[in-house]
Amino acid sequence: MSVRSNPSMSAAVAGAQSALPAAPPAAVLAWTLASALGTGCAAHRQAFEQQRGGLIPNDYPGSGLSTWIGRVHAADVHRLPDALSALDSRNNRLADLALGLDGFEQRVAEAVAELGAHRVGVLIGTSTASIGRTESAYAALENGHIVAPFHQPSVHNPHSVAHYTATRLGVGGPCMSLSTACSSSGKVFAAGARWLAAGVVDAVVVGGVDSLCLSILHGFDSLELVSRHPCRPFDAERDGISIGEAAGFALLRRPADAHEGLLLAGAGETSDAWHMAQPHPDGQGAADAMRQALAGAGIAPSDIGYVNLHGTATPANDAVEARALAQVFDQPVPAASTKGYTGHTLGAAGVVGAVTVLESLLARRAPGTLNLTDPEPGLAHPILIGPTALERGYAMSNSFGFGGNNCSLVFARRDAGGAGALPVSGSGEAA
Amino acid sequence: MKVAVRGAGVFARGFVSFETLRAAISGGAAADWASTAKAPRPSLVPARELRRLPDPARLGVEVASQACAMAGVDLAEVVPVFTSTIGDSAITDYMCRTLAGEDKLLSPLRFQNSVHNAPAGSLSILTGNRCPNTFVAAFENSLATALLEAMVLCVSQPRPVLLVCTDVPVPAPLSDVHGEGELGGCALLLDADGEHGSGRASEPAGRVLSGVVVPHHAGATPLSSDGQPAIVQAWELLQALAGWRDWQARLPIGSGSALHLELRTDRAFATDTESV
Repeated sequence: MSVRSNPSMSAAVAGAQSALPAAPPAAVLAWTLASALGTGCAAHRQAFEQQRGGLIPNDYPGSGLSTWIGRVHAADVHRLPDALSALDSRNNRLADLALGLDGFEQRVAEAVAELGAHRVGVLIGTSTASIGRTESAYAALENGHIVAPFHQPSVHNPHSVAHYTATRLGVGGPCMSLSTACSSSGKVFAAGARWLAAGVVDAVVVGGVDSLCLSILHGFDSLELVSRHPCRPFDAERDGISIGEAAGFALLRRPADAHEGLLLAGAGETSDAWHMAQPHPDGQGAADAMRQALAGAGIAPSDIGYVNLHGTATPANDAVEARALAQVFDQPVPAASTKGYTGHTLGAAGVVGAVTVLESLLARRAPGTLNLTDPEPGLAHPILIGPTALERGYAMSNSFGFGGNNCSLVFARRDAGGAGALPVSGSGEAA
Repeated sequence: MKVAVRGAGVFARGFVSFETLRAAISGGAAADWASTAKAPRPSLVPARELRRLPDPARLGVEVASQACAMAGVDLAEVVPVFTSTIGDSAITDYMCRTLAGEDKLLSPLRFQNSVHNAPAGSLSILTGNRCPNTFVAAFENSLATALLEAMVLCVSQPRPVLLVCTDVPVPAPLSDVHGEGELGGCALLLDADGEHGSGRASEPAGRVLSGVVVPHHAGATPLSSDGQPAIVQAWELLQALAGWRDWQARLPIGSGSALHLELRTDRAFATDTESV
């Protein structure tokens, strides 16, 4: 494989101490998304343009916690195909719902028909997996034992949604779950690009699915990270997250094998080595991930037209991310968090950010930050409040997770110019 | 893909280190099951931190330390890939049991350790490792899928890759669904073999593992431990590594694909302690 980079541009973003060679580029051929904003990409574009959020007062059954949530109501009534009903869980319903949107499953079927089922892989980021279903099994114990409808070995484990996705799509290649908390479905794009470059698959469905459950509502509450209000990213009054759920997918191929779609131009992954549940205060790990993604794309910070921030609305995350942004971008860059629209969708946050950026590059319009009225004083760069034009060909998406796990992705239009726009030779043979 | 296996760590099935497993294979000593009945107390973890560390993290840190020491590489300079069959089932049980109750008050420490990458995060924090780490889950295919991911990372970037597998016993009532499992961990320190990867100079190795993704068909030869926890599935490979034996297997990694693995060993590369 070869990772293109422009030495003079890379020099501009040098200084990533822990930098590894960034993931190779990949073509992004199709994508889909379901979140509290609605089902399908068009619903998201419309909500961002109208600045209409999806958060509601918490009505998740059995919770009672005073907070706001991003709930996908369509998942409440969605049913799995009869043949797959033994794999039932809210998480798998959410996945099934999203797979049926935006013509996504048809695009995967075309890839399977062209390449053969065993040459198409599945790589899904998730944090909750189907833990909500395990909670239900515990709530329905009889004489201390799990009862019949819940005897689902393929559901009560962290791999449940990747297994479901591969089964539903008829994909027979390598099937993997990646679980690094809230960076999970950012990292699947980098991992998928490496699979393609190494030749272990010829196409790969990447994505992220996380669903509302008691574990995350009450778990984040135990850490005092949950807001009683709709979350307010980068606002001086921000006081925590609103938890949401989402499912999103994308189909990746080698750039040389696909002459349409957009590009994953670069990806950066680092660890803070600091604290399990708090970001490093100087933002070094986050900044290094962004620098590595820029270096992989072979571009300068000034080539980026928009950054979709992790922006969870906790006091710590937003302060640290703003600091990291200022370390990487010496000039202000249009940047926003969309967590006020969708809530923080945890293991799905990476793919929500990625699809938001892909749609923004296509539409040349990018969303702002809902519920931001009084920006945190002292921010080095302003944070966008309303939607904005996106004329440059590159945009970035950040996702950071527990364990100090950071991921930054750079996507590009094919006409963006620079290394990212060039087809890159990939090894087509099996590894 | 072809990688050199430069180090291994074991804490499982009655063996507290790769060295005790190697010595047992060459000398015929039996497993001491009591020695691995409880999670280890890795020496690099300060005593006050130890009680905060769940069993998967203790296992992971222990076997990771062993594998890196054997390979002579710094734990802070490797790319970790963690895996487990179903994750930390003790914490899963705690969370679901508490949430089935009235007050639903969770321990913040146990919640933050409930993320599947918690053992990888602990290793990163304890050793100052700032390389990207990952957690791979694939239920009954976890070992093979994590090996695939580790090999891909090995040929994609210049640093050695540390594969860490940990499993813990499954408490009731989860054991109704998954069986009782067992406690155990293993680690492999993988490095490019010099032919593939970044082109970085690499010393010849006595243990070379190659992996190819192949179509999976009914005639594929699964391990006798198929369907068992990942640490049990890893046992054949660990024994072959310890005994300098060539080995091969075809492990499912998807409904229509398998990872075909071949281990080639050359005892001439054994160090003084290993050649005894």
